[in-house]
Amino acid sequence: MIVLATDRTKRLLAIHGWSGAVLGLLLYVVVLTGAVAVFAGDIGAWAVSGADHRDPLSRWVGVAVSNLAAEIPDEYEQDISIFYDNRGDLRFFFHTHAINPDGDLDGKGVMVTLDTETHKVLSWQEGFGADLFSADPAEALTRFLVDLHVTLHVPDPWGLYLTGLLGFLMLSAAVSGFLLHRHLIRDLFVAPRLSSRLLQARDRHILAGTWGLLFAVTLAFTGAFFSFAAPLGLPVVSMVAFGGDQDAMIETLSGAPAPEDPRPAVFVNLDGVLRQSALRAGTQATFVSVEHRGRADARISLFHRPPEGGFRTVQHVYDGTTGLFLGVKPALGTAPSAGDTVFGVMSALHFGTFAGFLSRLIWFGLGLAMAYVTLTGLQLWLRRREEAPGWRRIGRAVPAVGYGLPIALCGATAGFFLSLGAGTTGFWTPVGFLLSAIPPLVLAWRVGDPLRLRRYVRLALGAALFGLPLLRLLLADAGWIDLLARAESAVVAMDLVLLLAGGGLLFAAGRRRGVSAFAGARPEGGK
Amino acid sequence: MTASLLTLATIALSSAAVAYLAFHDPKRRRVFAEPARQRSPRRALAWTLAYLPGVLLLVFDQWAAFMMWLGGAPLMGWMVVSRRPDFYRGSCSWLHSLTLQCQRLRQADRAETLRWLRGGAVRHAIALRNPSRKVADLEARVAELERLVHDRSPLQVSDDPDAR
Repeated sequence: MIVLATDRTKRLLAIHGWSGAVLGLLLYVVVLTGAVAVFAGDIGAWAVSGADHRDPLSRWVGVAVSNLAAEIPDEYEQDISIFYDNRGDLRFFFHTHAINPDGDLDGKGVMVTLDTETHKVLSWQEGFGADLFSADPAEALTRFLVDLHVTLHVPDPWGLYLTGLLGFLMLSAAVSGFLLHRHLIRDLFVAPRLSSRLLQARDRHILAGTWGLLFAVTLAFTGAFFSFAAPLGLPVVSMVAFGGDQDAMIETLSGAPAPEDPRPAVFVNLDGVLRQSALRAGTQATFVSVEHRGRADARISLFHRPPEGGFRTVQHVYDGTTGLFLGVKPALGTAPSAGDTVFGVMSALHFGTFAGFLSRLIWFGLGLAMAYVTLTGLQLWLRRREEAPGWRRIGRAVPAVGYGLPIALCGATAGFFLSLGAGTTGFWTPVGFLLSAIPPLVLAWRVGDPLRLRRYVRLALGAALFGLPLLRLLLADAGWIDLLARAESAVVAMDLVLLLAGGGLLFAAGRRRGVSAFAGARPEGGK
Repeated sequence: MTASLLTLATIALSSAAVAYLAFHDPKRRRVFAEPARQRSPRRALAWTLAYLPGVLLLVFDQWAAFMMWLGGAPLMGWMVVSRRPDFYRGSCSWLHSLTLQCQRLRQADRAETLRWLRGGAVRHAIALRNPSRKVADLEARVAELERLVHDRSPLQVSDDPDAR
């Protein structure tokens, strides 16, 4: 039990409440999209009705590189990035480095997409990496979702600053909440009481906040770190520790570049290296980077998912001419260090994708719990002020955003589905999000009765969730039997989860309730 | 697969310990008007069991499982604790009823079990999962009783001059 002086408690309560009241809804957007982004890869694969191929990087990638290299202009053969998209098709970015129109150093070259089985060329685009990586229509939904979480679609670097600030806000709310709640242990097992609405809201907020305190602090701190690291942290480190010498800093963080040796040399069998690296790591590679192919100083870097029981991604480095294993490259620096370990732990704790489906499911649940704490905190703040008409009007924004954000995400997905055939998903995904965000806001503006408003937005969310799998099935070539035959049970499972969630919400919102916990809610304007 | 199984097992163990602690928690019992119990000597053991899986995972170098337990155990703990005692009582009562029906089925009383499955079981399950409906039912019964009491109230009789 932490006992604080009365004036200090009041100050802390003001910080806790006002910071949440001012930026709470934005924090909710970041937290909820973060929870959904844990499944970004699965959502991307579901949205294109599953990948056509398993482990694409084990399908004669070396042969494809050799065939493509004969047709690529010599200037772009310096480096190659190899990966695969949501459909499981192979993608190769043959590139050199140049300054892009925004004035940033970027990869410039040719992006080729191949059918993984037949190696037939599906697309061939030339340009800067920043444009080419965001041009794939099949990735638009995943990209939109992740960008909404990372930057709220605010241009760089301001979006990162904003989400970093929200991370610190969440951290301060967690710490001040911990200090404010005197009976942390005593109330740890007390379920929300069936008493007044205010006390019930307080109990809900405190109980969820207490059980999620550790992860609220962890997710907030790591989120703020990742937001501020690139635009602010690294320049500061460069100034403070390296006297402004960015090259020295990059050399320390990533290792010194290998000595240049431009003599021609035969490139190693890439497929053999991929197989050996997979055996060594225990998992298939997900990304391959080739430097200086065809030269004596050629290097191959292979990135693998964490092995069984581990939580850190693995990077293997091979010599590109002899195929010799040069070692495991740490994420930070050139040799294993405490800083590298801390960075690895922070990445795993924030992203939660280190141990397959189960870790993603747990982190999704934690994200939803944090979103629940944010919304119940806002509700508590507003219920304490529901006598004031101004606050009552603002209070209608909480269900509108609380249910409106998932409705808008469903709208973005519907926009993606409808435009996938035409290849215009980059435009229609955000448009779908914006268009479907309008109805909940209009409802909040027009419907004064909180009970009715909540019922309407719940019905809308239920209908949106229930409709998505039906829309996918209507527009996709593949039905459930076809998907199960292709071992794409994850797509069918996601369809079923959405149908159940949507159906459950429709049932819950549609039935007549005898007495509700919100029955005492005061209607406003008689709507 | 090993990490996932270990995680599920350890989260289940910690959740069971949390459920025990919640069941015996004096404040929870007081708040929900449950009969007070003597302080259980097994509470310390339950606290130990709640944390022990995490310690064991660390000792055996299962880092991925440890991190998942660290996230999953509080999540499950919150889910266990946030339900009120009447939810568990209702679930226990339904399970008990189900067990009885299974026993009857084994004793070849199939006609009655089928009747129970068709009507009572579903209604009962919905009622248990729907506390607001239970409250509405109770309120209706209270209103009915109040009406009856009001109808037979001696005050009402004495207020009526004709009746006097």
